Parts: sequence; C-alpha cells; structure tokens
Amino acid sequence: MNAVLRSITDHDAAPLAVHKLTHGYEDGLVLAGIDLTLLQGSVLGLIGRNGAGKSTLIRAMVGLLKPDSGEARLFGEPALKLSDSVKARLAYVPQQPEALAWLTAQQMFDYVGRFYPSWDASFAKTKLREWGILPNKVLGKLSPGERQRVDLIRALASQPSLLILDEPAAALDPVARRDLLREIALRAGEAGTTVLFSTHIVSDLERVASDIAFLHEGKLLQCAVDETKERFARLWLPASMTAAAPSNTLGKTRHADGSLSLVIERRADGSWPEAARLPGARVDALGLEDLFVEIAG
Amino acid sequence: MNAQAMLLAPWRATHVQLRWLSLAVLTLCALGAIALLLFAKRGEPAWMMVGAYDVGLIYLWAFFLSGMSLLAIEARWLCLPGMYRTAVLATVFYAVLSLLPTAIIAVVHGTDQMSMLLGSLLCVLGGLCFALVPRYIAVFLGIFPALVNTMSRLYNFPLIGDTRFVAWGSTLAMALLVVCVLRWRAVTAKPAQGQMGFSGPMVLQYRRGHWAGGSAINSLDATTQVRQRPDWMQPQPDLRHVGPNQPDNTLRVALGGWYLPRTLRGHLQGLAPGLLAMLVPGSILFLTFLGNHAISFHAWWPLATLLIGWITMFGSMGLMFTTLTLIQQRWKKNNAELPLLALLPGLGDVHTAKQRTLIVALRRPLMLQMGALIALLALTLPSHPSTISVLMLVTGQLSCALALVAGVIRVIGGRPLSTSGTFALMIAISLLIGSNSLLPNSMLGAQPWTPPMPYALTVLAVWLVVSVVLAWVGHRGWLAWKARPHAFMPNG
Amino acid sequence: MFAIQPTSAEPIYRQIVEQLRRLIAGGQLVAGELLPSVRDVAGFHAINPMTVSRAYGMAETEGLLERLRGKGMAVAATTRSTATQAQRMALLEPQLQDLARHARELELPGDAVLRRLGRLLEE
Repeated sequence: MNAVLRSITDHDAAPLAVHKLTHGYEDGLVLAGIDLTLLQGSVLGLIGRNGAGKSTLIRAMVGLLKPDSGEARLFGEPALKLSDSVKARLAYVPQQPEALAWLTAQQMFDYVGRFYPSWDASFAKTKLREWGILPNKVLGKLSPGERQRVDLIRALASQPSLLILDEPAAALDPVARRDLLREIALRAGEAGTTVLFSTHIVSDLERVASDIAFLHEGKLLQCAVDETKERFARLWLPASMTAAAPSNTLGKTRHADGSLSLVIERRADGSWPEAARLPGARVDALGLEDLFVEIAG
Repeated sequence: MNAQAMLLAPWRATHVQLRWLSLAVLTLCALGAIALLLFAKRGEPAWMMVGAYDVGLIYLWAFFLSGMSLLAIEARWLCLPGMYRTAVLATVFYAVLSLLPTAIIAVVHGTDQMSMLLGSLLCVLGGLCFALVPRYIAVFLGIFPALVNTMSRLYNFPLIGDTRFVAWGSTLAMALLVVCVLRWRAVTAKPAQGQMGFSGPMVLQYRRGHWAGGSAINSLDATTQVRQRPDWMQPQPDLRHVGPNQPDNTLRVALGGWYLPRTLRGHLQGLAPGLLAMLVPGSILFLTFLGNHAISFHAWWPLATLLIGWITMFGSMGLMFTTLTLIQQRWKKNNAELPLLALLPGLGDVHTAKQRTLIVALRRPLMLQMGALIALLALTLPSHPSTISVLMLVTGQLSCALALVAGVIRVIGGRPLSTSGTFALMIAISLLIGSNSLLPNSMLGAQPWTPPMPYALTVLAVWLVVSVVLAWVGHRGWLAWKARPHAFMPNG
Repeated sequence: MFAIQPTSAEPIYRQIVEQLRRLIAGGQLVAGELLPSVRDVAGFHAINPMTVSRAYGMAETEGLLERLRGKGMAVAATTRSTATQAQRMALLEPQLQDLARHARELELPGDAVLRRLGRLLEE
C-alpha cells in the first residue's frame, strides 16, 4: 500500500511538505523547526494544547503567515507563492470562519464556486439542506456553528485534493460533527483526498485519522494512530520495585503509597522493557487521550 | 446593599474612556458656568449658569449616568436583585443630586425657581430618554431642540421664560418620565445580546467603547454591522460581473462595505435610510427658513454653497476615515475574507493580485474625492475668489486624498498605522478641514472675503507639514507593500 | 454490525478483526455470507476506509474471510470446520488473563475462584 502511495508521490510532489519551519512572536518561539510530510490520501490529525501553535502552523502551511525561517510547500510550490492550479486543488477552513458576512450562503457559493473548475453545486445545495442552514439568510446573522458549517461545505464542494481544517469540529453539534468526519473519511479513502485537521477532541482524531502529530513546545511528533496505540502502555510498579524503573520515560508519576506509574514503549522486537516483567508490575493499555495527557501534561 | 456601592455604581458601570470624557465635559460646563458668572455683563447670569450646567447635564445623563441601566440589565440576568436595586436607587439618587446645583442657584437668584428647576429636570429626563429609547428614534432626538425652536416661532410654542412654560414643561417632564420608566423596564427585561440591533437602546452601544473615541478602528466589525441591520436594509449584492476574468469586481465583493457592487434595487435600498434620515432635518431647515425669508435665489444660494461646501469638504475627510477603517478591519482578521482570497484561484499571479487589490481599494474613494474637489471648485470659482483661498481649498482636499493613499497602502503592505498614529492624523486633518470650512461661504457675494494672510499662511504651512509626514508614511508603506509576498496576509 | 469504540486503547482495525473472529467462531456469521462493503462500514461508523480495508485484509490472511470477485468480502467456506476448540479457547485467553490477575490482586485462593467459575458456567 505504502509503496503504491510512494510511487504516486514520486512524480507528483507531496501534497504538503514542511521543512524546518520556525516562527515566534514577541513572547517566545511557537514553532521550533517543524518538519512534516503528508502523503496523498493520508488523514493527519494535528493535536496540541490550547496555544501550542496549531493555528500558527496551519497558517504558515497555507501561506497566510511568513515564517521566520523554513518553508512550507504545497504540491511542490512554496506556500507564499501559489499558482492558480495549486489553489484550485486546495481548500482551507480557518478556525471560526467569518468571511463575507454580507452575503447569503447561496450567494457565497455562487461567488466562490465560479473560481473552482470542479465545483460541485448540487453537493453544496444538498449539504446546506442536510445541515439545516437557510440558504437565503445573510451569513453575518448565522450562529458561529452555522457559519462554520457553511464554510466547511464551501471547502468540500470545491472537491479539493488537499483539505486543511483548523478546529473544524469545535462549534459543531455531535450529529454534524459525525457527518463531517464521515465526509472526511470517505473522501480520503475513495477520492484520495489528503486531509490535515487540528483538533483537541481526541476521539474525532481516532476515528478518521491515519496519522497524528502532537505539537508540543514547538516540536512536532508525528506517528501513525494504530501503531502508536500498540506501541505505548502504562506500567505500574509497586513501591518495592521502583528502583528498577527505566529512566528517561514519559509521564513518570509517583503515587502516595510509593508506587510508580510511567509510560513504556515497545522495543524494536515488539516486546516490553524488562521492568514490565518484574513481580507485581502491571501493564495497562493506554488510549491516545491518556498518551496526549502524559506527553503534554 | 450599602451607600458606597450606590454612590460608586455609575463609576463602575461605564467604560473607562467614557468615564473620563464625561467628567471632562461636566468640568468644562461647570467652568463655563463660573466664567459666565464672573464675566457676563449683559443678560441674567443666573440663567446663563443654569443653561451651561443644563448642557452638561444632558451629556452626563445621555452618556454617563444612563450606564446604570446596563448595570440593571446585568443584575437582572445574573439574578442579583440587590445589585438591581442599587442601580435603580443610584439612578434616582443621582437624578435628585443633579437638580441640587440648579436649586441652589435658583434660591440665590430669587425668581423663576420653578422654570429653572423644570429646565434642569427636562435635561435629566431628556438625556436618559435618549439613551433608553430605540436607536431609530434616538438618532432624531439630536434635532429636537431645533424642532422646538422652530415650532415655538411658527405656532407660538412656549419657551423657557414664558409664563406658560411651567405648565407645558411639567406636562413634558411627566411624559418623559413615563417614557423613561417604561423603557427602563423594557430594556432590563431582555438580555443585552438580543437588543444590539437598530431597535435596541442607545445605551448598549456605549459598551463597545467607540463612542468614547479613539478606538473607532477596533469596533464594528462586519458581522456586528450585518447583525445590527434589519433584513430589508441588508445590501443587495450584484454578482453578475464577478468571476475569474473580473478580478476588480471580485475584490469589491470581498471587500464589502461600500465597495460591494449592488443591483439597482440594492442601490436604492442602500440610499433610502440615508435619504429618510436627511428628510427630517431637511424639512426642519426648510420650515425655519420659510419662517424667516422669502424664497429667492439670493437667499438660497449662500445656504446651498455652505451646505454643498461642507458636504464635499467633510465628506472627503469622512470618506477617508471610513475607507481606512474598513480596510484596516479586513486586514486584521485571519479568519475572514483574506484566507479565502489568498487561496482563491483565478485572481492572477501574486504580483498582479497585489496590484489589483491596491487599485480596487483606492480607485472608488479617490474618484469620489476628486469629484468632491471638482464640485467645490465649480461652486466657488464663478465668484472669483482670491488665489490663496482656492489654494487652501485645493491643498485641503489633496491632503485628504494623500492620507487615504498612505493609510491604505500601509494596511495592505502589512504595516498599519498604530491607533495613536491614526488618532493623531485624524485630529490634525479634522482641525485643518475645520479651519478651511468657512472658506466656501466667505467666497460668495459681490466682494469675496479673503482670509487674512497670516492665518492663511499658517494653515498652508501646517498643511504642508502634514503632507510631508503623510508622504513619508506612505513611502514606508509602499516599501512594505513591495516586500510583501502577497496582498492577502492578515496583519493581526 | 461491529461495535466500534474509537477511544479504546485497542486500534480500530484490531477491534474489527477481533469481532469477526468471535462472530464467526460463535456461528453468527456463516460461511459464504457477504460482509458489508468497506464503504458502508466506514460511512456508518465515520471511520477511515483504510482502517476497514486493513481489518478485512488481516482477516483474509488469517483465513477468516475470502474475497469474491465483483462481490466483495465473504466469510470463508472453511472457517467453521477449522475453528477447533483450541482456537476458540485462544479467543478467551485475554479475558482469562485479566481474571487471573484480578484474583491475584485480591489474594483469593485459586480453587475458590474456579468453583465459582464452574458454577457460573453451569447456569
């Protein structure tokens, strides 16, 4: 499978490639040398605490921000100088979109749709009805959740090859959220759409994402969802055994009774470190959310 | 509840800037009243003092003490009956306190006590009324005194000093009191968010702080504006000439505001409220005039010149500020039009799009400003004014245009002027336009008046300095604009 | 058809394979029965179709499923007979390990636990 994807990306540059991206504001460095490559058809969930710089990273990726150093490339073109053909294959939905408050949803689709060669007007119309948005109401008078839905429809209707969504599920109700995830999943699986979305709702990510990227303290940790779940576990050691605990691991917590819990990682041969086999030691499976808390907490 | 909370209630309920501004206005009026007392030779000093104080009262109640209703709304919705009572009691307490200085003056003065007190009471209630009635009514209250004045002449309406004033005034005061109480109840019965529209009270607008001046740039984003307009007042866009081959119209739709291309119906709809709003003061002006003069060309011409002169001069300036505000807002948000435009295929390459954006942002306001200049010259040149007057007018208008270009290019170039910089610019240009404002009218008549040379030279010199500063500001903006990777990068 | 818990520490593809094993071993799915398409499963649960294909692929290599040309995935014809007692026992292994661990932690004697288990099985 991966070999097939590689061969596609070889003659057609990767949908998204970020190279040594660094950016900071007055109060410090937000992105410290980010490297990231997305293969076609992959769904990457970008996760991180509030203020970790997810939006900054995404804005740099789509060329809305000039990074201090490094660069982002979309389909091989620098993000700050995109050609029309790349723009036509790209859709981005910002966090809490507020564009064109003076148009109605219908007018906005009419306006934007003219610029995209593969605009799917009937999809836009159907989705608008499904997601319960009045097509003739001025966008400015819609609720934030409704505006987000309108903008998501706008992005999906242009049938992009690369879809970048900043906190797409934040203002959506559970039904609309599930619907959006389904749309993302099916497009990625069937049309080969590459998707990047940021979120802090880990379960959304676990459903559809093939890869996750933790953004923490300016660094990015990218890994595949399933492998990550299988690779990490929580080890609990009773007080008498704590001396044998492996050093330099994540999320080491000492409990009141002297016992110790920590995150362990499988070794190259797939087995757990020796400490897992100590008498009284216990290995518990670790969900992504717990892992996220251990890393970022 | 305690006395301290009640005394401090208005102080706590208002915006910081508004607080200081209100205090300044009241102090100014008080000082004015004292000055009148000391220096007035003719007329009744007591009446003059009360008059000056009353002006202060209107301002105080319209903008500052009415803030107590905001406190009352919050108290209602946070279910804090104690705080609500504090707000009501504080309002009553300060209303009585407001009448105290008038009462003292009236007692010392000896006569007309009732009229004086009633006058102040009307000011208190009128100010409060202005803040509480729906906004579409409040906008007309400003011309209320002019209306009363006209009516009094036409229909022998009693004014202050008239013997019938006490009877009339107390009826009016009762009516205002009833309106205030009813509106107070209505306003505090609903949460603030639901009343931000055009039928909501004026007082809720103070919270945004742009009334206090200075932060006009940061207020009124597009969504808030759209939300405040009823549906029939929403602009009707014309999307017929929009698309990949029509970048100019496309950009105008995305800029919105008064750049938005409209259908014919949309244009009419857009103009209707403005015309309607003009109709009322216009007809009052007409009535006033009808009472004073016979309709003749000689009487109307100066008035028309004055009006058109002011509209063109202050219009160009207003246009510059509204355009700058609009562009600043569009380039501030990173979740609105810019990301859409930045990734929209069909606007041409990076350089072309950058150029088109600047041209579209500048073309319409500049054309209107030039139109205003031509109208101004057409109006004044026939009466052969002095060269220096014409020079002053032309420099003034050109500086407005220069400020527009410099301001817009800085925003699109990614280095918008700071709020204090914009504010300084705003003050300088308003003062200079103000000092030009008596020119159009003065040029009329058989012998046009020429402004005294020292005055004219001073104004011209200041214009020159402002223009040099603007040119420098604009040049730096130009460099920034050239260095920017593309036009649609948010400045936020 | 599948009960999927995205937040579980077990990857979704493993959850599907596990449930397929159990359904086939338990006889709820019979040989030759067609499985819902990858698209249907992915759409229904709003999960990535790649995950579903991966699970089906794994089940196919295990011999649980077979690919029918033009029809999709079906339960393999040989499955039922080859599901020996040992294989079915292996499916219960994780739960048994959990049970043993809990019993140790509670310091319960082994024969008491087994007696109780025996009674539960007889019910």
